[in-house]
Amino acid sequence: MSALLRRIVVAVDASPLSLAAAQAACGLAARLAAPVEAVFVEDINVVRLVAHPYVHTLSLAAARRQSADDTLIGKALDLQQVAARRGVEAALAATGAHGAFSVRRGRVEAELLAVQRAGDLLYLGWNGRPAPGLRPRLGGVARAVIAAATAPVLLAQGGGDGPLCLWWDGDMTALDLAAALAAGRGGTVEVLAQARNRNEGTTRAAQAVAVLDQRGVRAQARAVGRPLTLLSSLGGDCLLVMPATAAVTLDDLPCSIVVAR
Amino acid sequence: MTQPVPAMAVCAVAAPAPLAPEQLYRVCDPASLPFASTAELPDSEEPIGQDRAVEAIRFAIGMRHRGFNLFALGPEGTGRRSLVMQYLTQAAARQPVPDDWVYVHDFDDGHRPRALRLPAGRAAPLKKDMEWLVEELAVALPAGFETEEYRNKKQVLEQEFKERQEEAFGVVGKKANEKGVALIRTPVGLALAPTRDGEVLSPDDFKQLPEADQDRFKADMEALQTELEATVKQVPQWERETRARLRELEQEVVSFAISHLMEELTDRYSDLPEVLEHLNAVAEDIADNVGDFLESDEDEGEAARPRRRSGGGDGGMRRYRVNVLVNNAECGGAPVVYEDHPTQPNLIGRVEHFAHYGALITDFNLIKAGSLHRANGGYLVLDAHKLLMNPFAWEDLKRALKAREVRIESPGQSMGLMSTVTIEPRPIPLDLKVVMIGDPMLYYLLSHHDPEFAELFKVAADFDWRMPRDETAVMGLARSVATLTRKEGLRALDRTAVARVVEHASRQVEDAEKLSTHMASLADLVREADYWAGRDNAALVTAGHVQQAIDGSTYRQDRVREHVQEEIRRGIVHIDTDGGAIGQINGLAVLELGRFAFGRPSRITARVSLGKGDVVDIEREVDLGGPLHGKGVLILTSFLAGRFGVDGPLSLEARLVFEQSYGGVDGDSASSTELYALLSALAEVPIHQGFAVTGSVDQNGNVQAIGGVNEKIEGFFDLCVARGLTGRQGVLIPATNVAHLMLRHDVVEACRQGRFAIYPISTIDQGIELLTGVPAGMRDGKGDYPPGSINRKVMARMATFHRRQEAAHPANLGGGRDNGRNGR
Repeated sequence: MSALLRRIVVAVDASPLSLAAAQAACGLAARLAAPVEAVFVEDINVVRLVAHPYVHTLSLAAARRQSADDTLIGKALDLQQVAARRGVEAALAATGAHGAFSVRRGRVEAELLAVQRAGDLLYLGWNGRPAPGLRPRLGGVARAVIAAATAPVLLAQGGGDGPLCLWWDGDMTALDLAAALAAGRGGTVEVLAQARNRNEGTTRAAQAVAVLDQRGVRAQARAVGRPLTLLSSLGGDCLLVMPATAAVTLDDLPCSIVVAR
Repeated sequence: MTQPVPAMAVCAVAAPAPLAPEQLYRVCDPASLPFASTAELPDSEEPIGQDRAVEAIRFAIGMRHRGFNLFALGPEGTGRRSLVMQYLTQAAARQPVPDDWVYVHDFDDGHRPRALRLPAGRAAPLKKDMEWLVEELAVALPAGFETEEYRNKKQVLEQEFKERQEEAFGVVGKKANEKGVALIRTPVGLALAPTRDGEVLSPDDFKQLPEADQDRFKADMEALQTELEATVKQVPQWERETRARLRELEQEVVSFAISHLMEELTDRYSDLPEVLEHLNAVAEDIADNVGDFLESDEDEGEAARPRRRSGGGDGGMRRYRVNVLVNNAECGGAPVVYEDHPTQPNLIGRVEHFAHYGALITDFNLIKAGSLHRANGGYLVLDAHKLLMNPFAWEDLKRALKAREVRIESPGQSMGLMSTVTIEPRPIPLDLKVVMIGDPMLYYLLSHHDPEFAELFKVAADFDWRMPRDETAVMGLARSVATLTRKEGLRALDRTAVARVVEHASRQVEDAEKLSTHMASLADLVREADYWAGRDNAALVTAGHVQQAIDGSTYRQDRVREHVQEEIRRGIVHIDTDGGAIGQINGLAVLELGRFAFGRPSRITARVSLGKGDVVDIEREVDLGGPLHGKGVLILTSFLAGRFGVDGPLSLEARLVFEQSYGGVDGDSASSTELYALLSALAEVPIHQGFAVTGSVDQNGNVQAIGGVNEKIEGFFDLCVARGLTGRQGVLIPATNVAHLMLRHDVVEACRQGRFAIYPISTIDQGIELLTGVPAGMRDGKGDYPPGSINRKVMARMATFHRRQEAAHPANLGGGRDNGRNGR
């Protein structure tokens, strides 16, 4: 078990990206022999809508007021929870990881911030409902959690089973996390060294590679230079470990990321 | 029982003399041939003996009007096909090369592929050009969509849509926020709910609110609801607008990518409006379905590209291909197509299918041409028998000729049996001449039973199976043999060999004054003679080699004849060749086994007794006699009645039988023979068994010609030779058959030496005199026959029968066959 990643938490709402996050979390947990805690959060505001006599609901498909069935929201929430539980159970069974599924009720952002404080790494879907055919924009919950989280957060855009990359601007927290993930995933850490010019970047990348080597993690430089250059070197299947202070807009990132703290 | 034959005492009818040797075989004198060997002869360019057929073929080729198709009728082996092909090929070489035909996808109606006509030699290049276009577009289009410019523009459009949507909902959300109402996204849509401190008020808390606050909330939410509904309703419209703008953007990229490619093609096919029309349709379709050209990998760029249309892939690309149905690029003139296997699909074409996820799928690329397509603009040659044997082929051929178009339709499709997805290719105009080759019977049957046949096949080329044996024909035959030897690398024939071939050609048609036009069998004879010449290491084929070929062919086929002859020689089958017998005679039949025919002697016997004038044909009674044989027996009955029953009823019953015959008997060639046996039985005069007889008879006792005369004579001759020629043996044949004699050399030689004889017989009286040695006798002025004559004896026997009949059954006499007076 990694000293850094002893407890992994994943937020599941049955959306495709959250289920992908659950799969990835279970995979890592299995390799690190760490437990997984899957959390389904019932939005308290939505829960209060159930059987609320003074609430207006509007169908997006029909653009008109919903029928008078005031139990519809409650039933939909139940189904969502069942789907989330089944997804987690399937991921646990497929990876051989062990863990538990729990349901919390409250404001989603607050609940997720609470559970991340109890874990070493929080897995979260990039977006709850991505538009078909388009790269998902960062969702509102994910944005809020990233802004306030105290523990590392992994935002999944896909499987993230490609190269493990490190956004290296000198932040050791990110490097440590990358080393821990590399130990769990195996393989090489590919360094993206942020710098003002190529020479500086090459030097910084070499520095990171050397540190990782000292920790027994294989590493190599992938790209050096300004943030835009680094971004263009990333593929959709990468998993990028980056410091919370990285000078990059999350919406521009094409792959899954881990924000280190 | 064998009895002595009396010497002829009274001869009232001139007995025919045996035929001279030169009447038995018409020799072709090698000296009369103006060449030493066929090597000196030029090739034969014109057919021999088929002037009528040739004229018909020329006429049919020249007549371009509708329905003047040709039926070449004649026996197999007369060179129908080679002659037809020769003339058609010559004519076709002078005619223009017809256009090419291709099938392409119809973008307006994909179910019915379009047929395009192109000048000869342009179809294959068009096919290549379209393949090139697709290959180029597969590179050019993705490149266009991967440009930064396109991606940026697309992102801007998408971003605008999102911002517009967010802005609209943001406005509603902001208003709701100001009024303490939350706009919440739930699993089943959007919800508006009263809030306090950012949290939705529970129903209980809401009820605790002052009534005015509750009413305000309700009113506000109602208003917001209306506003939200209006906003949501606008979203699809904005989506449509965005899609339209994205599409315009795609069109710009596509137009740029394909414009220069299409310009190149339109320049190349500017003289072909139909092709230009198709190219325009292709360009429009590519613009509409540009996703088909883009890779399906879900990589980073996928989101930026237009989406691939479902069901695309290679199936999508296939619709831009060109299916070359007819390619006349290599033709030097109009096509001449011989369809050896005229099934319905081979004739009119077919649409093939391939299995795709368990379903049978097809498209215009799987349309296959039929021989009608390939022969379009030229000539199609078909074997009538094969055509008629194939279901639906004849009907579809007629339909195509009548409609003057080829419509590809499977039988299952036309009968509504097809359950799989298929296509209906548009028909192709048809302009060709069809030549059917068949035997005469087929021609007559079709003429009689199929009214459309006469309308569609107005010209008949009637091939004769024989030709007059004159100098022209003999030389024509010699030239044909010369052509064959050169064509097939055979040895040349010397003049003796050619003469022997000519003689054999006469024998083939059983006529000394005719020659066979069955070139196939004559060619086989020449080939076999060449084989024997090769065995002798001879430079030239001689008459000996030809004879060897004839004998060899006969030997290979005459096992059955040998067995028949052997059974007769061993006495298992009873045939006498010497002595005399009453009511017993040697008849002659011909057995045909495949292409080999031989004569078989048969004993025919007659017995007479008291009766009512009936002649019983035992063969007929047991259903072994055919209708012609029955007819012959009835004719001889009529002869008896006419000669001997004029003055009274025939009070006899006669029975005729082919002894030891266990198969069917047909034909009337034994009717004279049977009559001789009957007369012998009635007159109680023995017939000399050294004779065999053939010939039919009419009601007046005239002997008529029969077929197979040579084989019949040779069959009896072989038996006599085996038993030893006595000089008193011979065959009686109808005098009208003399012209048909082309007998084997050994028969002719035996006749020359007087050891065997052939007698030409014109009447029954001549025949019975020769067979019995007793004159037949002619009526005198009183109507009586001379004493001692056959006829006198017969009349006397008749009278005896009548008296006995009268004595036994006086009341029944009036019921007899004849009601005349009693015989003398």
